[in-house]
Order: sequence, then structure tokens, then C-alpha cells
Amino acid sequence: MKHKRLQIYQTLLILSFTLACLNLFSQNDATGLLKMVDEYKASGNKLELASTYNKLGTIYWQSGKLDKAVDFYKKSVEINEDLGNNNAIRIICGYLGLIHLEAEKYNDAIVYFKRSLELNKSIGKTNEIISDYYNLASAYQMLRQYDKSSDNANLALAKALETENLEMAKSCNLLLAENYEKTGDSKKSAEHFANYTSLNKHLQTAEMAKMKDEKKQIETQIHQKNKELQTALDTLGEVIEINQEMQLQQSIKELQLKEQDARLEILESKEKLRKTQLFYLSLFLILIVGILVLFFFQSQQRKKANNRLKEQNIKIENQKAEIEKQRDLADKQRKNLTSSIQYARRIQSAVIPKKTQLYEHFNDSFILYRPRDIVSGDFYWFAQKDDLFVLAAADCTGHGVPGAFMSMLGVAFLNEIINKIAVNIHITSLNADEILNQLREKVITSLHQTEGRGDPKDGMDIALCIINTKQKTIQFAGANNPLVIIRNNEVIKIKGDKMPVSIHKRKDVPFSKHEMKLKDGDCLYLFSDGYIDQFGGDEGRKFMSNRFLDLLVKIHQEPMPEQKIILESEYQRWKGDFTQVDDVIVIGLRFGKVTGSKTINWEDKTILIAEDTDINYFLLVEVLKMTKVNIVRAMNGEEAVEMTKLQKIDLVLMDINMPKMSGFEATRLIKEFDKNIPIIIQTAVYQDGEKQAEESGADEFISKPIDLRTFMDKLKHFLN
Amino acid sequence: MDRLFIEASDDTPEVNFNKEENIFEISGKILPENEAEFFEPIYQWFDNYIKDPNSSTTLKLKIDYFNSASHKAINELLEILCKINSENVKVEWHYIKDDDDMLESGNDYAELTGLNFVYKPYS
Repeated sequence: MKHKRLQIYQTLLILSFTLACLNLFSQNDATGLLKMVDEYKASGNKLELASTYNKLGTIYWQSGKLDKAVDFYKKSVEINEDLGNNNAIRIICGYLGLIHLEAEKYNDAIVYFKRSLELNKSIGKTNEIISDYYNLASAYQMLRQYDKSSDNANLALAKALETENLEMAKSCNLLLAENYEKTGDSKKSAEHFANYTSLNKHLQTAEMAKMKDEKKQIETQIHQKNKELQTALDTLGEVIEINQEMQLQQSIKELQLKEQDARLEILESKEKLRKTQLFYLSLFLILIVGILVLFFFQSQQRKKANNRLKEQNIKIENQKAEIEKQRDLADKQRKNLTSSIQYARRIQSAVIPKKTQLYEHFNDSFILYRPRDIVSGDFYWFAQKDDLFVLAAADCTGHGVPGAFMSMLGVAFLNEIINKIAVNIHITSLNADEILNQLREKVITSLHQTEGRGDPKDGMDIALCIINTKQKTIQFAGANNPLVIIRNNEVIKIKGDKMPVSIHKRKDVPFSKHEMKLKDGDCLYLFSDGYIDQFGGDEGRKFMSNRFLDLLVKIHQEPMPEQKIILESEYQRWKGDFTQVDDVIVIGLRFGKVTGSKTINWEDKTILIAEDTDINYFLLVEVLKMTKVNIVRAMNGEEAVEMTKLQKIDLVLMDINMPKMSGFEATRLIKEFDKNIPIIIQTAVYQDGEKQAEESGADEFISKPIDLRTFMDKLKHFLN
Repeated sequence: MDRLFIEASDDTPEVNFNKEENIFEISGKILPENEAEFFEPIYQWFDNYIKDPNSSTTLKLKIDYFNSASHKAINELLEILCKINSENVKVEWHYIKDDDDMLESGNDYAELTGLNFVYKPYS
């Protein structure tokens, strides 16, 4: 009967404490006590007597001598009854009940328990009451009087629940469960048994928790103590004794903790084992399943990712192909565009009159023509009949393709006008202002120009003059652009009318005609605003017309070709890295006899012509005949390089396309050998000569077919 | 009335028209690829402005360079300005001191439009 043993154990604990206070352990001597009994009897000390009887009862009960124990306890009760010590009586009756229970004398036990109960009730000792009820229940149970047992047990239970004495409640429930089982009421039995188990569990966990708390408390205490230890050691040197004492306490506590731990572990491990087994089994199963699922899932994911990557790759490949295609397309378009504009340039070149036309009439003249783009919005134009020479320099609105369109129209219109006049009227009545009037008319009509704001008003600015070489007169009419004559270091600037050749507020105002006499040696200049509007210099300003005029005055004594070169280099210097603003055109002309013609004599110079085509070679020889220069020939680039090393060469005329070694390569090598040898490369008309020259390292270029004037000018530049 | 502000670029000038503050300025280079397109909003703004102009209007022009097309466009703009029926309309023509060409252009405009031009050379 486990619960009984627990009960007895509890009671013994109480007992041992009370007896310990009375210091009975040191006097655990029955014989000694019996002597004292006699003493107390003699002295009539009833209190001591009763106490001694108690002690004896206990000793005999402990040693299992139940009859003797009962005997002495009864005696004690008697004395206590005399003393009226109900407190002692109730306790001893309790003992007597227990002893009789142990002796299996249940009816006697019941009597004693009842007495104890009565006394406990009167004092109101609740826990004792519960014990008494419980003990009664136990006794009745042993007598198989289950109803009575259950009654008492219920009373005990009720009280126990009231006072929250879970221990007792638990025991009562078990007892009741047993009773009901015996009476065949399995439902109630199960009920009470369930209560018992839950209470048991609760108590166990409470106990465990309590133990854990105690453990924790003790742990923190230890920790705290450790801290204090440290501080003590630090501050007081000779506190070794205290330290040792503390250590002793600590070890005592630690031992107690270990004891607690051990107890806890025992309880825990039992539970754990059962749970763990179940846990591991289920975990294992879940794990297996999980792994399988994971594998499956991962492989799916990987497949998906691979597919996605493939898709992306394909997309990127496509995009790349697309972009490459577009890029190639753009490149092609650009090339096409550039090629077509290059082609357009040829057409424009074809339409614009040849420079030679000017040179033939005026030996000392130049045309500085520098389009901004491939095709130009500026153009020059000549016409000649007998002694009259018409000369015009025009600047169409815009540059590049739009400007070029306009320029084509300009040339066509001018041609038409002159031809019409030539047909209908005698040529001598050719008038500069009339030409401009008609030109304006044509532009407005052909382009259907209207005066609305925002309507295109494309047209041109122009300076047009008619020189009568016989009468030595000049007519001039200008649309915005002037005519400049420099005579004896003085500038004569004849301004054009302030209106363009196109629709304008003043479209009905006729152009003015200016006339004046010319003197031999007069330098005439016609130009567009491209030169003077160019940004450059240190401060990025425009060149400006006064600076330009000053420059002209400065150089006008030079031969015109020289002036051109100077103007070109000045322009380049001024412009620097700035973009070219507009098309540039400057025409210079010296009227009358060319003063002091310098005949060229290059007897002492040697020119190397690298040209594999015979026709071209002989042409050059012809051209150079009058200069008396020495000529040597190379058939290919290799020979050319060789010859420069073998003899003194003053200038090289290098063809580009030659066998064995190209002109480019030969140029490079010669320059490496001696960078001071001037090299002029010959480029085809459709190539950008300047660029080619630059790329090859040559000093100059001349385009085929040869422009004699330019050719001679360039040679002069290097050989004079 | 909303302000009109156009930032300068390589080919186009800064335009700053602000009725409230009585500021009307065009400064920089004028050589747009398509001058009609560039000037259209400017014309429109001014058309609007002249319906209810300030008591005095001064158009400040500080032009570094203009091509022939923009020459005409400026002319157009000045024509709009002419429509303001007031004595207090003038044009400030800012130009680099030595630039006779620019001064001359200013003179030409003054003559052509009849507007009151004030010349402001700077170095």
C-alpha cells in the first residue's frame, strides 16, 4: 500500500523533527528513559512523564515492537487526559491509529482515528482532519466496507481540494478508484483513477518545477556566491578562513544541487525515454519522406531553372543577334548615306563651274572653297562673254544637303538668266542688279514662297559683279554680301543691299547697282560670311570682318595663290579645335597686269615622280617642262624609297596605287628615312585628299585629274 | 502667364521670358538645325504676351552668332514686338565691342522694324 507508506513516512518526518527538537536522538536509550519514568512518577511531573511515555512509544514503534509502543502511548494519553492536553491526545491517537493499521487491527484503528478526527475538528487542524478521514477510509477499505471507506475518502478529498492539498487529493482519488473497482463501478473507478494520474502528474511536474526552481535558485546563489568570493579575495587578503567556509558552504550547496539534479534526472529520464523512442521513430519516418520529397522537388526546381536559363540564353542570343543586325543595318545605312552624299558631291562639283575658268581670265586669282560638310551651301559662279566677266560668290541658307540643294538651284537659275539675256538682249546690257532681281523672282516663284511666319524663306546671300576688262569698269550688286577692293593699301568696301535673294519684307525693292572704275593692280575680293563668322582664337570669338579686312590689306601685295595659302592657314590657326560653323568661300582676283611675274626656275631641283601609269607620268612631265626641274621616275613604292636614299630629292610626287608597295607605305618609309623630304600624294577626286594626306604622313595632296593651278601653287610652296 | 525657359545648347540660345519679373532675354548662339521648330514656341509665347503686355517691355538680345535662317527668325520676333502699342518698348542689343558686324546687324534690325534699339557693347 504505497500511499499508506507515504503517509507514514510523512508522519515520521514530522515526528522526527519534533523529537529532534527535544534532542531525543542523543538520548536514544530506552532503559534510560524507563528510569526517568520512575523518577517522574515519583516527582509527580506529569508533563515530563507524558513526554517520556511518548518517547518510549516512539522508540518501540520504530523498532517494530508495536504492543509495547501501544502500551506506552496509551499511558501517555491517560496522563494527557489528566492534564487536559488535547493537542497531545489528538496526535497520539493518530499514532495509535496508524500503529493499529499497521498491525491490521482495523477496527481499533478506526476508533483511534475517529477520536483524533474529533479533536482535530475542534481545534480546526485541516490537514490533520484530511489525514484522519483518509486513514479512516483506508481502514474501512481494509475491512472491505467500501461505502464507508468511500464516504470518508470523499470527505477527505473535499477538504483536500478545498485547501488545495493536492497530495492528499491524489491519494484520496486513488483510494476511491480502488474502492469503486472493488464495488464494480468501473466508470467511477476510472474517473478517480484519471484524477489520480493527472494529480500525480501535476504534482510530479510541480515537484520537478519546484526542484528546477530550487535548482535555479541554488545555481544563482552559487553564481552570486562565486561573485562574492572573487570580491572577497580581491579586497581582503587574510580571509582564507571565510573563503574556506564559503567554499564549504558552496560545496554543500553543490552537493545538494547534485542531489536535486539526480532526483530530477531520474524522474525526467523515465519520461524522456518513452517519449524519445516515439519521437525518433516518427522523425525517422518523416525524414525519409522529407528527403524523398526534397529530392523530387529539387530536381524539379533544377529542371525549371535550367529551362529558364536556356530561355534567357536564347533570348539574349536573339537580342544580341537583333542588336547586331540593327547595328549592321545602321552601319550600312550610314555608309549608304555617306556614299550617296559623296556621290552628290560629285554632281555638285560637276555643276559648279571650273576654277580654271577664272584663272584663264585672271591669272592672278584664287578661289578658297571650303565646304563645312561633304556638299556645300556656298557656291561660286562665272559667266563670260567677250569683254564681260560675271563673277559671283553666293551663300545659300543652310549648309550640307539643304544648302547644296539651294546651291544647285542657284547655279541653274543663274545659268538660265544669263542665257535668256544673251538670247533676247544684247549682252552689253547685262546688269548686275537686274540679274539679282531676276534671280530673286525665280527663287520666290519656283519655291512658291509666301510671307507667312514660319514659312520657309530659303534663299541666298550673294555678291555679284560684272567686270569689263576692256573698259576697266566693274558693276556690283549684292544681297547682304559686299565687294571689297583693296587699292594702295586702302579698303574700299561696297556693301550689298540688306535683303536676301528670297521672299522678304523688301522683296519688291529692286537691288541697287554700284559702278566704278578699276585700276590695274586692284585686288578684288568676294566672300561669304563663313570665314568671318568662324569661332576660334583664345577666347572662342568670331573672326570678324574688321580682322578679316585687316588681314587682306596685310597680304594683298602677295600673289593671289600665296594669299590663298595664307588665308587658309590663318583660318586653320584661328579655328583650332572649334567646329567649322559654316561653308567658307573667298574669291580673290588681281585686276590688270600681273605685277612682276615670277618665272619659275627649278634647274637645281630634282623631283621624284612615283607613278606606274605612263599617261599620268608623261602628263606631269609636260606640265613641269617649263620649270626646267630635273625629274626622276620610280615605277613602284619600293623603287621610290630606294631612290630617295640614293640621291638628293627635293620633292616626291607619290601615286597611291602602285604595285609591289603602295604609296602610303612608301611615304611612311621615306619619312622615316628623312622627314624633311616633301611628299605630295596624288589622290582620286572622290577621295578626301586632305584626310589621305594626313593619314599617310604626306605633306600635301593633289587630286587627279590635276588642277594645274593648284598643282603649281603647291609645288611652289615647297620648292621656292 | 507661364514662364518660358529654354536651356542653352551647342546650337541654340538660352531663352528666358518671364512676365512677372519683366524679363525677356535671348542669349547665345542661334544656329538650330530647324529654326522654325525652335522659334515656334517663342513666337507663340510672345503672341500671347502682347495681348496683355507689361507697362514697359525690354527685349534683351545677346547673340554670339546667328545663321541666315535665325536672322529671319529674330526679324519675325521683332515684328511681333512691333505690335505692342506703346512707347515703352525697346530692344537691348548686346554685342562684343569690336564686333562691327553684330553692331551693323543691330542697326539693320532697328532700321527694318523701327523699334527703339539700345546698344550695349561689352568686352
